Amino acid sequence: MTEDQRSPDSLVGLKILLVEDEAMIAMLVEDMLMDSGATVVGPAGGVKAALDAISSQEIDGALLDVNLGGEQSFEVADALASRNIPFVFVTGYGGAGVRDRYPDAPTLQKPFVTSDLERALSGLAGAARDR
Amino acid sequence: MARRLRAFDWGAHPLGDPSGWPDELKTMLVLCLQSSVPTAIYWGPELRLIYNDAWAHIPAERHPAAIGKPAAEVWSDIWDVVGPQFQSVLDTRRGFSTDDQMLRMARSGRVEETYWTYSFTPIADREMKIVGVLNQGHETTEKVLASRDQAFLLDLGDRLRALGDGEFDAPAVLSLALGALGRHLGLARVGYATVDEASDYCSVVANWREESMSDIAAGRYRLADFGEAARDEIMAGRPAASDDVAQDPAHSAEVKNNFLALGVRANLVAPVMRRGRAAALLFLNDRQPRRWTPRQTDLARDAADRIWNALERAESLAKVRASERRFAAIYDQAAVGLSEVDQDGRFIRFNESMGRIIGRSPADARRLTIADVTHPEDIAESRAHILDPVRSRQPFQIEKRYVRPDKSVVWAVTQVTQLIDEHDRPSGFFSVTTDITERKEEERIRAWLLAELNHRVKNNLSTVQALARQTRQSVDSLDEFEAAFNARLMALSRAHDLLMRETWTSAGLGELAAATLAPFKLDDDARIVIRGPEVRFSPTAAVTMTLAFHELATNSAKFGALSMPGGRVTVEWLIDTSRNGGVVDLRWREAGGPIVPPPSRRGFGLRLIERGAPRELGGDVRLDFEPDGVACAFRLPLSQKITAP
Repeated sequence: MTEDQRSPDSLVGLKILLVEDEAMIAMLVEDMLMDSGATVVGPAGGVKAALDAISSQEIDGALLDVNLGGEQSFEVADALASRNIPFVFVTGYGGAGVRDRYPDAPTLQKPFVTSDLERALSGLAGAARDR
Repeated sequence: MARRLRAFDWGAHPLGDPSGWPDELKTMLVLCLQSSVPTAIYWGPELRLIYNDAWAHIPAERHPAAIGKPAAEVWSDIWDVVGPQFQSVLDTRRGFSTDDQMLRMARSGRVEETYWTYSFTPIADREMKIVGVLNQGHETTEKVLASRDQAFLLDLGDRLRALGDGEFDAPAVLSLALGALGRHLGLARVGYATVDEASDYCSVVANWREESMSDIAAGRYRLADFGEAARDEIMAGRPAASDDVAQDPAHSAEVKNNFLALGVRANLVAPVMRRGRAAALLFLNDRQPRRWTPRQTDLARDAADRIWNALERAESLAKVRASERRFAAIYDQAAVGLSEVDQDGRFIRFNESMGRIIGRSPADARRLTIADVTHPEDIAESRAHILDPVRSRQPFQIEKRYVRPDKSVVWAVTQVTQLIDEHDRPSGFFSVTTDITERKEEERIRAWLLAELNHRVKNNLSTVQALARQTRQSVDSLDEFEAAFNARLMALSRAHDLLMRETWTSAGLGELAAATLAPFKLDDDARIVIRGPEVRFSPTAAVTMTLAFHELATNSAKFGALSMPGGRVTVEWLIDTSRNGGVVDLRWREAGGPIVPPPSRRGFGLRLIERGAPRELGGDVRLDFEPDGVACAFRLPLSQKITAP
């Protein structure tokens, strides 16, 4: 199997922080992550909850909604980056703000299905295993 | 003359027979008669007159009677001037000479102003006694008057030129020229008239006159009424003059009366010929008969031509002024910015609208350059356009930013046209500038709206995706899936309707509850009671709250109070301000229904209400399955998402 055709359980054992403010979508992504074998940290509905989780829990990677009901999640991204925790931005649109601040960060466009999520997180998984 | 002198009867004359004349007189006489210069000898104590042929015309009709007469008798009319001059020569024994001496002389029955250049030279005998006066000289009247006319015309030209462009109009030109001419020639009236195309009538445009003369300005006269022959002369481009209209043999009694009715005795008309016809007339009137000289005729023609030319200039200036006024009005009042810059980009002027765009006063135009008012990032492009000799020849358009003194930025589209001077050289640029800040702002808003729309559609699709997944987990059949999914989708749709009404800013809690629970009322208003103060939910919070209400109501309709007649649901809330920042204390209470056991599996509704909602909205939610009915308590802190007025 090539790197791009990883099996769905490639997220097994990874602790993924989910930062998403909309309850319905948070539940959806939480389920998707669990389907892929990941352990979900959160979901955090806002910046403060996310920062609390980062400082108190062990995290292998994160899925960040850019827009958290009026506030943006860059502060969370900064905290993750300073800890060398890889993350993927989730956005409803092109995310021009994201490209300005984090030109190299992978982004995942809503809506997405589980395989999109796994593909986006596969890099994170590799990085986590290498640690 | 020598013959005439010999034939003269000197025997009876006080000078006696020429054979007995002293040698001095004989010598002088020879000199006099042989000279081609007008020469006269005044001899003896009475200064008796002898003169040569060249001099003979000087006394006019007094010749030949003047021969041998005393000077004081011959020149009685001018003796007040020449008498003292003679006396001074006799007294001082010195010669006298004068240039252009004015002498009011009676000639042809009229007293005329005449001018003379002459000398008086004393003639002494052997005893050095003054015995006579030699006079040489000539008339300079024509020369003097001609040079006066010349000076008059020069002065008139100067005075017309002295009129500023602003005051150079037809009335000013005519008032100045006609008045000057009337005073110069000592006339009673001078007028200017235009001739109609058929050459039948003339219309007096203006006339200068002495007080005693009638004002004939704006009068219209038939030319033939003042002599057909005169009219024909005028139409042929020649002046027509009448020294005395009353005595003019060319005039009929009717014509004479027409002149006299206007107070005219002497008349001179000079036509202005344009395109082969007499287009206008200058007329000179006098109350008295007057001998028109060829010089005056020439002067009248010359003046008429100058007046025509000045009026043409006045007319073209008036057109220019009118055009300038029109342009100025358009320029000043145009809603678009208009500006003119030189080749180096320095402003020459700009209008009020342009002033508003760039935030400067038109009065400061000359102190500004394009670079002064252009956004630093757009200067290079502006310059490139202007410096490009090929591009700048054609009108071009640039969209650029201007910067006002207060640093605010204005987007504008500028249409630039190169100005070409009379030598076909580029002399600058004329620009029409339109403020498009609003359009730019609209474009920005449109782009933002599109991005926002895309964002919301994508988010909604995710929400729908979540609904589908959550519904699938809690149903046993596709039919059940469809029913539950549709109900949730409709609840979501109603939340959107409410948000749409408020342009997607927020939705009221009361309306959210009412819209979501409406399908469960079953036409009985008492089944569901909703009350509480005004609280507003942000769009995403509203969607979550709607779905929470929907799940509570669905559960109640299946198992709880809403599953049977008489069952009641009360949704009540208040704002608890005792807590930091305030908390919305919302209670869902069921009554009058069967006992509802806690659910055996944790389905979507429970998960959303107990975990999803508090996580998104902050605060906490407590759901109790009590014997007298389901109770759900939401404690939601006021925040960005939940606000109270």
